[in-house]
Amino acid sequence: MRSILILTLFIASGSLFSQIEKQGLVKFYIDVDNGYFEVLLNDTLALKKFRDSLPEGHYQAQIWSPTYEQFSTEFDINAGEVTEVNAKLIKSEDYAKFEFDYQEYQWQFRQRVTLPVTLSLLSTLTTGYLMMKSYDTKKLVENDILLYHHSSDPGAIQDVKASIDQNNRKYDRLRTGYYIFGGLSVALIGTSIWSGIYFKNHFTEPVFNEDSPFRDKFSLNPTPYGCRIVYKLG
Amino acid sequence: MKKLVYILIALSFTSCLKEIEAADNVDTNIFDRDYKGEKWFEAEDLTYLENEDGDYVVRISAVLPSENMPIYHPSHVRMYAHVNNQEIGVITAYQNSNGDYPISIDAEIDGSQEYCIILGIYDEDEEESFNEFVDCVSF
Repeated sequence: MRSILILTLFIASGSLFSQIEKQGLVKFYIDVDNGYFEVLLNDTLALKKFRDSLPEGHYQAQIWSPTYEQFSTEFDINAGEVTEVNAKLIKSEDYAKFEFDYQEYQWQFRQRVTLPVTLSLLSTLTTGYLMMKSYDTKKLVENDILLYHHSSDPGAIQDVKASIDQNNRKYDRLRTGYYIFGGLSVALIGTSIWSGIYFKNHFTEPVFNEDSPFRDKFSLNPTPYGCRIVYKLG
Repeated sequence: MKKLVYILIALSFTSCLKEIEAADNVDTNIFDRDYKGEKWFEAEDLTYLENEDGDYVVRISAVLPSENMPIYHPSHVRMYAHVNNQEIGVITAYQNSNGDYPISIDAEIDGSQEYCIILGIYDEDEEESFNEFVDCVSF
């Protein structure tokens, strides 16, 4: 368990930092698609903002953004001037491998879990539908049979018999479909269970470590109400 | 997932989606033109008597038992009758208190010792008889 010590200093306006003289402004133009980056200055101070006032001098900067390779550069700060630091970060090889592995993992998931489960669900729903339709049709046939045994009208009996014949053939088709899809559903559910267990035992979801390499450094986080210095002990 | 399997197996085994055998046997109603059952009336008795015109005739008594009728018993049944070679025509049998339909047919005496009646259900719409059966009665 990592213990984290956060030391926070709130300093009012016009405090120590406002009195530092000979400062210049640095602006970081970092080309990343996630909009987030951290800059480590002189291996000491981690900045998490795109511009800041720094004391005059020469700086070595290491720039990092999640999923990107760390980028190193140097710049000078002159008093009263604005220094622009441009950097185009490139995607890390680890992340490229992670993306490849994750795509493979997703493909396997779809193939071994999503597809069988979807087919099982469709087959089960079809079985249920056929079962309900079969029962409805069976009821129609049974009602007509009852009517047949009640009637003494030759004309009506012919109509009822035609209806019995038609619905009975429909019922036979529906219940045949029900048994076929029922068997198919059982087979698909069994396949889904087996495939899911196989997937669970043979595939692990790839993870990509997005922790900042600067997490154990001092970081300066100024806010409109003051500034905060954070140091984490891992 | 296992629950789904159990439910499906239970449904498969508990379902009553069997063949409706009664649907293949709808031929037991005597008002059905495709009736495949037994003779639906019984010839019972034979007597000589003098009719209203003063002529001697042979009266054949028969009955249509209530158990041979559909579940809903009509008040009467129309039939077409022949006795030996005589065409009698359309006759009507009314339901009695027992639920049966007594039939009485008067025919000319032809010297026979045995009189055979042919009865068919008469369809008034089509004006024809069907499901004709023969039963004989002797002195």
